[in-house]
Amino acid sequence: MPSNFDQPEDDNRIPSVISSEDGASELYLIDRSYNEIARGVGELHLDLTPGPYKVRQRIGDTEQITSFTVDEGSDNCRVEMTRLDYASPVPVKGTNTYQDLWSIETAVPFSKKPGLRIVIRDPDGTVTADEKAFEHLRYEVGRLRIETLPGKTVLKLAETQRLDTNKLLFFADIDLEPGYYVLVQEAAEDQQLCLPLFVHKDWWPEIFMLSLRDKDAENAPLGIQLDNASITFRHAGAQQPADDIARGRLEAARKALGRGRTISGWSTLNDPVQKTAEPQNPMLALIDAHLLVVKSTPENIATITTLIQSTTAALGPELFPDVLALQIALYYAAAKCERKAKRNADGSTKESKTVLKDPPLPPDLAHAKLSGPPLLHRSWHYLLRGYRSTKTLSDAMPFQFTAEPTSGWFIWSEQVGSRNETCWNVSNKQGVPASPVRSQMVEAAKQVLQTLASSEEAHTWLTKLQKAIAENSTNSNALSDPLVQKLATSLGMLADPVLRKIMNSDELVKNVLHSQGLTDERLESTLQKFVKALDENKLLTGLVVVGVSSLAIKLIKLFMSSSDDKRET
Amino acid sequence: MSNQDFAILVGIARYKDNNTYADLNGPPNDVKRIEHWLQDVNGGNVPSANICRLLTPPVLMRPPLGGAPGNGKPWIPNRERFTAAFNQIALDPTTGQYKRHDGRLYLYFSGHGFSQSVDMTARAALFAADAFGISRPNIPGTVYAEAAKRVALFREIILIMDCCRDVQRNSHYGAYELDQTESTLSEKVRLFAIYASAKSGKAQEREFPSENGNVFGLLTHALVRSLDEAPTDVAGRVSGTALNNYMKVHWPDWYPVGMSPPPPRTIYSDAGEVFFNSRKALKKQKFTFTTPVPAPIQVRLQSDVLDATGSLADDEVIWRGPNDAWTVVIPFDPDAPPGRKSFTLKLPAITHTLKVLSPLEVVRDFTAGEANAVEL
Repeated sequence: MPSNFDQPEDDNRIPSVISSEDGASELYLIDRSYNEIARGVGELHLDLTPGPYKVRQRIGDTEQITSFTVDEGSDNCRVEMTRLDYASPVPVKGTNTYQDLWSIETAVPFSKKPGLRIVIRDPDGTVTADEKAFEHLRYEVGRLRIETLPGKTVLKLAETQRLDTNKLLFFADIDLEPGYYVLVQEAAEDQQLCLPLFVHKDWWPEIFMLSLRDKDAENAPLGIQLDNASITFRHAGAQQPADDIARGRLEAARKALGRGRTISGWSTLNDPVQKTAEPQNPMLALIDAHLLVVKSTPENIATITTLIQSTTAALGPELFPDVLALQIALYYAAAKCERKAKRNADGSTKESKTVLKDPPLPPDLAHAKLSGPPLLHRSWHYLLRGYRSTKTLSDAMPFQFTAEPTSGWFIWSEQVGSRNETCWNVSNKQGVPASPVRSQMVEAAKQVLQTLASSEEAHTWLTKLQKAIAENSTNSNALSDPLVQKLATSLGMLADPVLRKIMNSDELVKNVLHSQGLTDERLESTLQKFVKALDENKLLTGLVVVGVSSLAIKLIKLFMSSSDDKRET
Repeated sequence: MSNQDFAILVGIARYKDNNTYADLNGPPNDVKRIEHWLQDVNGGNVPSANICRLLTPPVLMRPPLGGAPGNGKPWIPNRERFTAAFNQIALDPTTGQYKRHDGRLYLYFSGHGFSQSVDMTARAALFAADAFGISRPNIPGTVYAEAAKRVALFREIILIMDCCRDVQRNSHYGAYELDQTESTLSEKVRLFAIYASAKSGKAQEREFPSENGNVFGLLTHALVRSLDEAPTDVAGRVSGTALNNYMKVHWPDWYPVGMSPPPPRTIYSDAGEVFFNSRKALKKQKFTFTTPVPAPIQVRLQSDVLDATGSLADDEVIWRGPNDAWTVVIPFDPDAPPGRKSFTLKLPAITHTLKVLSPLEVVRDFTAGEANAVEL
């Protein structure tokens, strides 16, 4: 922390280094008054006045506090804290899920071709390999497969026969051409979860996951959570796996991102242990940049820009989705800083007000083409913010999906079979005009919602809708769509007495629709399905009673019977 | 006491849908505890008339199983009640425009809560008492606090949410009516927030045998305890940073029974530090320079709980913590006799050492409060 204050004359500060053995912990230095003196990652270098101090050391939710004293008259002070005992899918020494896989990882030489490595392990595997644990691991592996982005199965993990019974370990190197892939996990009721992966010609993903059992519940099996996976990029020229410190940093950074922390600095650490001159891991740079950009200031914008540039250099000139997302985030942050600086430079004390709205993106970002889905959930948030009203996202992902509420990776859920080549074939048809009937249907649907927002009888109709959802969601195709359910649930706001008093119906409807978090195109298709759901549950006719114009109902029914527009969006 | 300070305290212990939202015992005690601190002249010092309490009423504390109470009364506190309380503070009754207060707003919530799945920053809402089935009306404390900052309603906003932050995909923060314009004055508004848990985390309430078996939310219990125990600066205040660190450092020791949940999540203001009064038995300690003070001169004050350096200027002493962790300006007493300069600090009644650095080179050990003044 820079000081703008002359240090006291008796200020015999002692050069001090506070570090964590793992080189990855978040460190927060506190003085005797419990004020924070400094914070950083892995190591703190600063001059301290003699006296007592405490350090909070943290990775994820694991935390420990160490007290130490800087002695008067000493030449220096060095405090090294032991490793934190946390759970990590990637094997890192000192973690409570560590397994020595080094010999296995190095016994299987890195392929000379692009691809990915998947490691799924039961951390107790080398200690107690029991039948139930093996069955659980086999079941979890059986739920997973690799697909191309257009939905073609590349392989099912179970068919690779890389499951080691004795070690409770699944370990596979899979050769893949550079491009986007999806790790698909079967879920319940004809649904599946999808984790996007990217194989670059020079950077190949490694995915580590844990197969766990609940020790507090008689070792009941716990399903693999894709969001808890540890994913890193291995450089094509790497001779051996990344060392503990590098892996530990990535895992600590991932946990910090997942918990919404704002501390960063894992990728900018100098690593004296690093033995090779390998380029910086782009995954670490991406995560670090996301941690920084949330609390961006004019000072750290330069750091974020450097991190983005290094990732672009690593992953190539074509804009990587997460890089694009960060550029959008940086643009918005820089615009905000600029507005603030202009106001301060102006010196005016007169209050002014700004409508909170993102500025339009500059041409290079506005017209950027997305090559595929992002890897990080935060990237999705910025991409949605920047491209909500455009076709950019739907061109890259032209299939029905629901973004999952994950904290780290971007994961979506979809109906089995909904993502296929047809989606891309339709999307690739240039200049397909919007059907006029469909546009009218969407407008009619919005009119319905606005009428509901101003109608006194709306409450009764909305109650019927909520009941229909509760009773028929498994029977009705349209109502089983999670996006339709979400829309229908949020329509409850239209009956909120507080909002109806204060807002006009148009504003209220706009807010409800905006809160769905969808692109305009997806919102329209969701409205379309919503209308279908109303018809299936015989709720359309009831709308006339609550004041919806019969014209709007007619338009909707016209669309329902029309055969002009068969396009699934 | 500032009549510009206000507080809204929401404690929901019973819900219409008691299958989904289990009965809670902590919120009534939590609100009482916070209110007690707020009303204390050495605590929040908020006028009682400016504190609005929205609590589960006694008639709902033992309702019939499910459904509305037999007497037809609504399930409260609900959104309507909260919005009315907020608008009473925030809006001019004749013009309907926002009215500003040059003080502090406390927004406190205890009950069942959630966070939206799309949240990228720390936010939370309390489910309203009338939440039922898939109807989930809520009181989004963060959204109201952000709105208050955005339009610069108050100089400072303290948000405390003692509730879970389960991630909800289909619930939305129900506060669309709030103004979406941002005032240039909002940059100076300090918003300090504490959440009982990280996103997707659980808050906990526990019975405390040492407190007559009363149940409290852990965040509320730890917060008030930290306000009472955390070290103070030379003005007798507890900074938000010190409060947070004190709570985090002592959390595992205070709640060791069973698996201690992770400590609360604190979001500092980006507009500067906030300070809280301390109910510790602090002593006013006067320091007097009996001879003219050659400028510039520095003093150093140290004890087991304090390490501060003061730089004497013409009319004031600028105190700073180590590495400039904090700054406090203490003016010289205007009534000091000519040729003398004195200033007064609020310190705990323990031994301190004051060093006046060159050219005076004076060292004094003293126990705060035992002498009228430390003369230098």
